[in-house]
Amino acid sequence: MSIEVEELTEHTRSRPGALRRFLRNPLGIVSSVALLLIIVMSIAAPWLAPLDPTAPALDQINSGPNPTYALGGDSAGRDVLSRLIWGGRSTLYGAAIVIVVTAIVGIVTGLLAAYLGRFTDIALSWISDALLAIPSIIVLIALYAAIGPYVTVSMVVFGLLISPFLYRLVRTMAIEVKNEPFVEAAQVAGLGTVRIVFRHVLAVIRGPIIVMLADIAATGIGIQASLEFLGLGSVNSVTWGGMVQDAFNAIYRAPLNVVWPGLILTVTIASIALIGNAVRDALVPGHGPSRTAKKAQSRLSTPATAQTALGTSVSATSNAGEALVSLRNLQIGYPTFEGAMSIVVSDVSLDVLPGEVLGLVGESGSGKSQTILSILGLLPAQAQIVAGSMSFSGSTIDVRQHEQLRGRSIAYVPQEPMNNLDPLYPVGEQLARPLRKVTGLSRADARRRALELLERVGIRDPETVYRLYPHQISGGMAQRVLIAGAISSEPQLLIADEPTTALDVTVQAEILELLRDLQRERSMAILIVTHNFGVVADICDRVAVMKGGRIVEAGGVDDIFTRPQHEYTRLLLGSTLENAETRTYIEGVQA
Amino acid sequence: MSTEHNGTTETSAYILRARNVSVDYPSRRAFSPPKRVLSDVSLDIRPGETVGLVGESGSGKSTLGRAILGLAPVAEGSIEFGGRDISNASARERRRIARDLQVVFQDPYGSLNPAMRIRDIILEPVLSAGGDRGEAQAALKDLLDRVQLPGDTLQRYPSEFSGGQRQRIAIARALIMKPKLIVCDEVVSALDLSTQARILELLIEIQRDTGVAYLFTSHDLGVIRAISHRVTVLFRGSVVESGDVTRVTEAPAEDYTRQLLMASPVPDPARQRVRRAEYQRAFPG
Repeated sequence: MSIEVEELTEHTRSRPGALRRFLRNPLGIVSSVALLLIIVMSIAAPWLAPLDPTAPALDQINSGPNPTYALGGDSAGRDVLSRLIWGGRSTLYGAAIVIVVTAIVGIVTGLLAAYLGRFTDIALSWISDALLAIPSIIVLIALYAAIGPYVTVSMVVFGLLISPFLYRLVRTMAIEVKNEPFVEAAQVAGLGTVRIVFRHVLAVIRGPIIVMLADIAATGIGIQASLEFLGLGSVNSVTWGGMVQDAFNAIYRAPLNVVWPGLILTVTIASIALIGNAVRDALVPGHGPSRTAKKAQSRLSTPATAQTALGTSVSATSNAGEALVSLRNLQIGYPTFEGAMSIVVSDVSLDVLPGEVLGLVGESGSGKSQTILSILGLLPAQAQIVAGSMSFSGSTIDVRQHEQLRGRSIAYVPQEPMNNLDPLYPVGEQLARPLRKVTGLSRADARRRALELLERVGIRDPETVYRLYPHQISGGMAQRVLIAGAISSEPQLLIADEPTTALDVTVQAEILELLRDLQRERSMAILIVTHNFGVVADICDRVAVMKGGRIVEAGGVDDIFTRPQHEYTRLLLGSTLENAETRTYIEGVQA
Repeated sequence: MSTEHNGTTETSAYILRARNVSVDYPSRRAFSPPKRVLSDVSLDIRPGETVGLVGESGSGKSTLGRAILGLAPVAEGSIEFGGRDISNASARERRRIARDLQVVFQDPYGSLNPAMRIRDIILEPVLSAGGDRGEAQAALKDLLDRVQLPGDTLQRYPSEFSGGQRQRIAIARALIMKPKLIVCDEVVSALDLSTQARILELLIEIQRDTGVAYLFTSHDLGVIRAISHRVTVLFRGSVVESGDVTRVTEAPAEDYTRQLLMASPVPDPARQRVRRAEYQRAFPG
């Protein structure tokens, strides 16, 4: 089967490893080189520094750059360059402590809260909230007053105070990931909890953790420098923050001395933060486009390749009278990253006659959603109408702009009823509000009308349902409410996008019955998108089959089912399991 | 062990026996009683056969699968697998069972760890069972052929595959330990029509070749009919009826089964008109 081949050869480019992806990111390389140089410089300070960073020389006090002191001397006549080289030690040491403390405390408590839940979660969240309420800089100043200038202690305390940020992140993400099917599959495979946490949970959430740790380390360096700048550093050790303080006091005599430690602090902090971002981008496979974006993208890219194989589009037009909606040679494209255009709907012509039910059938990526979005005037901003026209009741309509039709002459029933109701408002109100806006009814009249509509769509106790919130009603009832909303403006065309796919079959039967009744009663046209040929057979008068952005076959519903012309239609009809043989015996085993 | 009253021969004729299983889920509100989502369900599976489990949302079909897999707690009753009671088994027992009992889930996007390469995903059950990794590596190529995936699949990440391909990968992961039973939870319901048909074909072919048994849950009677030998119909956590698939789908004994059957539209306009009229007559309102 040609489609099988297509599915299997869909991807040809293999992803490079995480390290290679990191190395391809220029920002990542530049910042890691910068940080690496700073680390090497700090480690090799005894050999690199030209002079003793603590030795004063009276003739070099606030001197500018000169042959002996390459960057000049500070307010005590000490060599600025040597001090700069030595100063990285305490800064990097402090940052390392912050990372280790925060990582251990944040990750462990976050995982505990996610896995043990209940009281552990509540207790840890209380502690975390309390810690976040404490201003860390004040604690650190108080700590200095109590115990003196110890970088280790103050950075451990700072790590503890800031760890709630990481705790919250780890907890939230772990709760999300631990119920994913792949974690359950690992449980079924018999992996122990600890192994699952490391292999599956942490591996998936490590990207954001790394980014946050980098941010926290950068913040730690900033805090440490601020403390030193406030004079709360050790007088004996050389620090960048201390250098800034010293230079600041003599800023009018040697202004350049502020620049050097400020610059190196900025470079260090920025490179740590940027490395965090680059590592995250490299680690998370498929980072960038999210799952849905990716899906959309594959949807968009397939038609272009399928185009040549399928030949020209068939039109689903009709001569049986004046059409309500007509699309002629519609072509919709999306600009790709390479600057080309990916065509998702190609040469589609179709008519919806007044009062008929037209089915639009196809698999994912066939362009059926894009087609109905263009009729609804809801195409995303980046979509481009390459060619084609649309008319409604004989008058030409701009495909890009026809808000005046939507919600009045054209109504819409979506696939996921629950996602299309606002959880914050009672369902009745969600019906009444648009009624007031569109038809200008008074509040009381809109309410009365909404109740009538609810009754019309088969809701037995409209008064009660009016006041219910979406989470209090079933999926079938939610779909009835949405249908009530759709017919409230007496539309001539109802567009239903897979209106029964999310529903149980018994509910599906009821909803189809309701749609049929409404269609007859109001001689309203329905354009129904579905992948289910049973639904097509049940409700449609005509049907158009789409593949790869084109209509490959169109016709009366009886013709399509009894005499399918196109190979693809036959394949789809052959895939329905209706006439599949049942398996009566077990192969190879005596029943 | 129930050998005392069932006899050894009978026990060995079934790979899985669920006896009067009930499952409770804790209520979301504090101090209110737990909710019974599955009550008093019994079901047997023989080696090499497919038992279909069909029902609408809230019927408990997935819950039974989860209870068998140890992902949902068994409140009452027992589940015997390979002659051993596995209801509420410990983690260590689970690890032992995992060789013979595997799972394929519905969501092809969530069931593979996005941060792992396909090779590591498929080999995971081997790792946990302490199996021979080298041997499993060698078997990988045959396995890929079996599920019809290209050879360079192993080095890639899940995000590079389509829904149907991901289900093939999940099936490969389930097959690597040569299990006796695979719980297939709505494995085709997220797939396109033509992909769905191919995955079902693949599962049937694998069953023919390896003699693995399936517990196959679905809301779609058409799917159940195509793959099952026997079928159990569930409604709100209880068994409505069960039996041979031809018998249940062609001459259902219970009203609810008949309603399920007649509610799903036939892809044939003429027959659907008749069926719809009958449905309206039989189940008005």
